[in-house]
Amino acid sequence: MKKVVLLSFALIILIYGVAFAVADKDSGCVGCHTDEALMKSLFVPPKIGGGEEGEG
Amino acid sequence: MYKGLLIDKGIIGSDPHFSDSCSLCHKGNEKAQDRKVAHKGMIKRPSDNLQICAPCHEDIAKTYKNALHYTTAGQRHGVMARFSQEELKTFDAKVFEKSCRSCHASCGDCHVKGPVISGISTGLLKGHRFVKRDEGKTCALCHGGRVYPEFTGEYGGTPDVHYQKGMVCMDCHKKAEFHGDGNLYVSRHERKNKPACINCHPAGQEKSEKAKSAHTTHTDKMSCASCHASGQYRNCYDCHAGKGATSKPGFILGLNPRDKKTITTLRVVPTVRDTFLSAGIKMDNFDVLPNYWDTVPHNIKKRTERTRSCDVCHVDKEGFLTKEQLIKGGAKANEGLIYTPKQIKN
Repeated sequence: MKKVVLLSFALIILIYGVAFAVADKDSGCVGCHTDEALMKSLFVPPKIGGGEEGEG
Repeated sequence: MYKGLLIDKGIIGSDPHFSDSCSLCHKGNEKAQDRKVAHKGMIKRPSDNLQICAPCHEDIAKTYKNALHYTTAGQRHGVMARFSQEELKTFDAKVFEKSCRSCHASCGDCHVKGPVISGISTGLLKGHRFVKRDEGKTCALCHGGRVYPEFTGEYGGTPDVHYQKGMVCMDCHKKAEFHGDGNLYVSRHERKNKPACINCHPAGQEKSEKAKSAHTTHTDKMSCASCHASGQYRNCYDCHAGKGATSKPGFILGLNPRDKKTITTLRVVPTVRDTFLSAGIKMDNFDVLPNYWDTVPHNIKKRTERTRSCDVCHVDKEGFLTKEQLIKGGAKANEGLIYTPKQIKN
């Protein structure tokens, strides 16, 4: 019984680990949007328009 | 600022919102390595579609679809009486859906990323964390023309006493105001859960006899802000569709256009006769509504020149709207808001 519990626990940890590792590796979004240097290099400041300052 | 696009990697394994892929909400192509390909078909504000949040936040999504921050019905209601039936149809088709409705707040505008005003946004509130509230980056943007800068003192006057005490928007404006109660309102004035000064400051708790007497004398005759607004606030003039308005400070007292009997602070609304002319709307009934509406300036102060001396209103009549001060070419309804304070009998 103890063995089954331990094995299940190990299996859960393994699945979580693999899931996050795969997610990290596969997701291009996360790769770029967590890279501060890259984001800084790609950022283009918005053009400032006139007039609008919000409503209320 | 690039930091507004930077996701905090630490939240990806801990926040249930990220248990699925980014593309579940944002679409696009998550597997692509090329920037353009990755962003093709991407949805910047996925929660514009409330169904994105509804599977987990069903109750809120249900009420929010009728809430004023989502429907923006208040903007339509505020001007529609100026239109003929035909003009209203044109307004709905050409102006409301294409312009006014674009101002609605998605769930994400308040909980993930600050709204975009004039092309500027504060970006992600906290590295794409889903935050409960962050008024300075959310409310302050959409309401950054008048209310918020008055509240913080940024507009030039004294900061609101509530702000000085550390209070922010949601300390008075409760969650239900934003998420809605399920009812479809056409104006914020219809709602039952509005903030009111007397919720925290009930009559009878005044420390001085002078304050007690002043409150008793003016109850139901004047709004609290008439005496407790610290000074000038922003009034917007001469708005034209697509071009915006101009603003200048002012302090105006007159009759509340909603009941025509209580005295209150009035704020100029920027609608002029040719505001919607570019959309072919002449506003056949322009004169029906005034160019001033009741307002609660968010620059409240305990002691003002009006709380110190009765003469400021009853002798000098400071701030009270007069016929000479009315906007030139304004609506005929403006004249109905003029009030001249009476001398105090000794």
